[in-house]
Amino acid sequence: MADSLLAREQFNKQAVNFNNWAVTQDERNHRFLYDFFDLAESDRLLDVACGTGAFSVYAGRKIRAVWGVDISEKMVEIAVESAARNGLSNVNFLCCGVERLPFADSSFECVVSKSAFHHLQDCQTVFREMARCCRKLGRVGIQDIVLYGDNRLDSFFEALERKIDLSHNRSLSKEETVELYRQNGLKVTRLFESVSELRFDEYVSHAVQTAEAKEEIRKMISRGLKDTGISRWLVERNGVSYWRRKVLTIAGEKL
Amino acid sequence: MICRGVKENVKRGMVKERIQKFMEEAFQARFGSGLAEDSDLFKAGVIDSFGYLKLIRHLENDFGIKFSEEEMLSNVFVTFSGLVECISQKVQAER
Repeated sequence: MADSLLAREQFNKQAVNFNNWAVTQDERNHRFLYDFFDLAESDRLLDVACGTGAFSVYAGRKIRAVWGVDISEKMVEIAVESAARNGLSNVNFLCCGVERLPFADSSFECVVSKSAFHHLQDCQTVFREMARCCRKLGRVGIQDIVLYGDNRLDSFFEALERKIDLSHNRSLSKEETVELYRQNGLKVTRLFESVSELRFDEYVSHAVQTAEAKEEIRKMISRGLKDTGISRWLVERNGVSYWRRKVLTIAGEKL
Repeated sequence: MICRGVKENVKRGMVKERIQKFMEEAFQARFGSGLAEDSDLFKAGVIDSFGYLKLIRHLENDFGIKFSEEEMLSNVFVTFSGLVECISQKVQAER
């Protein structure tokens, strides 16, 4: 099965879990992103690989218009229901691949993608499309998990990500993400690196795994907790395991 | 040369005072009492994601400066001393 079809099938399977995940609905982060991307009432926003549209719906309450695009029919179905439930006629969703965005050049003041780049097979093409759809002096923003910058850690955690979520392709490094901006003639205007502490059980449940994969995840965690380097990023408190995940939030201006 | 050096030090002192006042008011940061000027402000819990935006916007407005891409990519916002150094240089350069 082609990678994109596999990813779509996986997204369809786990759309409900993904939508119910606390991180997906984290309104505090949505408020931060709204501010970080300098969104304003008159803006038109394009949310690329929008999933179940939580950020699109949040932004749609405040700005002129939002378009969300995602490859998964089930994700888009939930997003459409959410916009309707919130009475937002200015928020629209399209189900299509994100390598060719169905919008004219310079259609949006702001184009963003949240928690999606690690799923993409061709980040360069998607970013080029995001930049194309953004008007001059508009903003292009990304928030996503990034590599730790240590081969041993990255090898372990990338393998773990793929066990948890079949649709995980590859996390980018901070430098690779910045390079996307440079290659497409955008100036980086904001960059924020953070560490999110994710409850491990919730993180696993946001996706769907086979019984065999669940057992492999359990073994990997057990091994990771015994490793001094890895256990720095897998911590246990009061019997609850957390994964300390590096996150990059970045915005740039189209020159 | 000596005169210029003195002026630069005075300027740096003023920049430091203004940033320190803002950090005390906005983030309750008290340098010297357990918080060193080169402490990582994020790891110390002084600044979070919202604080980062608040700090950048304040500095850009207060000093009438724009941070370059290079400054955004480096770690100038991580420590108080890094911020003072960066803004002192920018203020000098723009005069």
